[in-house]
Amino acid sequence: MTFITTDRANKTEVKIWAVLLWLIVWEIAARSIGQEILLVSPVVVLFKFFQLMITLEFWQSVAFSFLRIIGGFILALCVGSFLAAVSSVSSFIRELMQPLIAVMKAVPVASFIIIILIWIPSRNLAAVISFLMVLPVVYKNILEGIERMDRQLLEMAEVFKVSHLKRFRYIYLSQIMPYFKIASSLSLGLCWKAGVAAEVIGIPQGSIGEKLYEAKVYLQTPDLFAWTFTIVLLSAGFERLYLIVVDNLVKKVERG
Amino acid sequence: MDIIVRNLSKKYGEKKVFHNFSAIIKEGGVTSIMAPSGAGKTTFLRILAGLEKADEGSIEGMEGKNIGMVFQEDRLCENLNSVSNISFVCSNAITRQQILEELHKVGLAGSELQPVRELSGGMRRRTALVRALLSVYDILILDEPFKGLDESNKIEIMNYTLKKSMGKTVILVTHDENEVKFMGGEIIYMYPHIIK
Repeated sequence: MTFITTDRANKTEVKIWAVLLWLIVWEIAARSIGQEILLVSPVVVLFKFFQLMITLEFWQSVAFSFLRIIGGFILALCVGSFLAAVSSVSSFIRELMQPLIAVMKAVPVASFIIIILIWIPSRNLAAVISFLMVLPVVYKNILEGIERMDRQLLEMAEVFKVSHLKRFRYIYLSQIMPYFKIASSLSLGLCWKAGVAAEVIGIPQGSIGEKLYEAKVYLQTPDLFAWTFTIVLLSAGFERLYLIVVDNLVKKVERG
Repeated sequence: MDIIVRNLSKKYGEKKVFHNFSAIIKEGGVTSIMAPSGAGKTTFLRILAGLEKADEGSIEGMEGKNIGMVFQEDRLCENLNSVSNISFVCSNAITRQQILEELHKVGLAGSELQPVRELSGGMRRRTALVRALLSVYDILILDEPFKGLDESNKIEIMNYTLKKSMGKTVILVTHDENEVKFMGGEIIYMYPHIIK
């Protein structure tokens, strides 16, 4: 099953020339304004980023936030996939999940952050928020994938008495995988945005959110941009790595 | 043991597919079922294969039997190649080399490792046919198995099917009288709501 054709994928791909053009526009705008506190130049941001990178504190903050945000993401992937599988065979569970998922999707992330802060220490807030943001996306997509499963292939496997393990490997896995990948892509961006927002509000010590908060309080615009650049790199880099690992894993499982 | 179909009826909602359908399908030979479109041939095959239940009537002689089937649609795993599609349903006793040899016999040499989504309709059909013939079966159900094959290689494929299914019970559904003649055996004519 293919969701994006190569042609369409090419059209949505980020081109280097476009990135460079926007960087030039940014540089010109920064120079025109001439006040670093309002708009910092991309060159200064890059310089600041490298300055931060050589400190131990930078890596400690990255590790702190990464572990919690990605931890919440992975937990939501597992729980969401399991609940979707159970919902596909039990209308009771599906009906039970419906309002819960609807609430998770509708409640603003800021409300969740404040409510959760009442219950748990800010240290693990990002993990919970990341989990809550990812769970409905994964649940909905995997459930849709199961519902759109090719029934004819399942019938074929039934007639030929194919083992359940083989059915899982060759039918379920390859048919649900596109939905799983879409869910992962959508929620990876989401969990970083929501997770860092939670850290900015909860200000757990040693997190990226704390660094962003400090940059805002002390009007350190280059730091603010450099940390934002770090988050973008972490989010995009992890997404790419994650999708490569998932693809290879699926190929390996299908090949046996 | 022959397959004995007694007073089988099936309807979807208010629409009767067939009513009081009775037939005897001889063990170890070919039985062709001929009928106009909409007479319920495929529904009957689906009931035989255990994919649907009849509303009334009974079928004897199917208990504990292994079924091999070529469906009206190819029903192949699109991402897999022909070899993997076949080994998907085969017992472990069938080796990859054996599958390759059978694929070569039906003219699929050279394309056996391509994902089936890249194959032509005829090539996919041949893959589906080899898959059924290499599976473990006592009864082979063929729902328009030669549909989409070139006239030039249809005879060859029918010969191959006959040879591979020798001694097994084969139930064939087709609109093509030439195919029925070639495959030989018994013929059951099925008309809407009536069986002769």
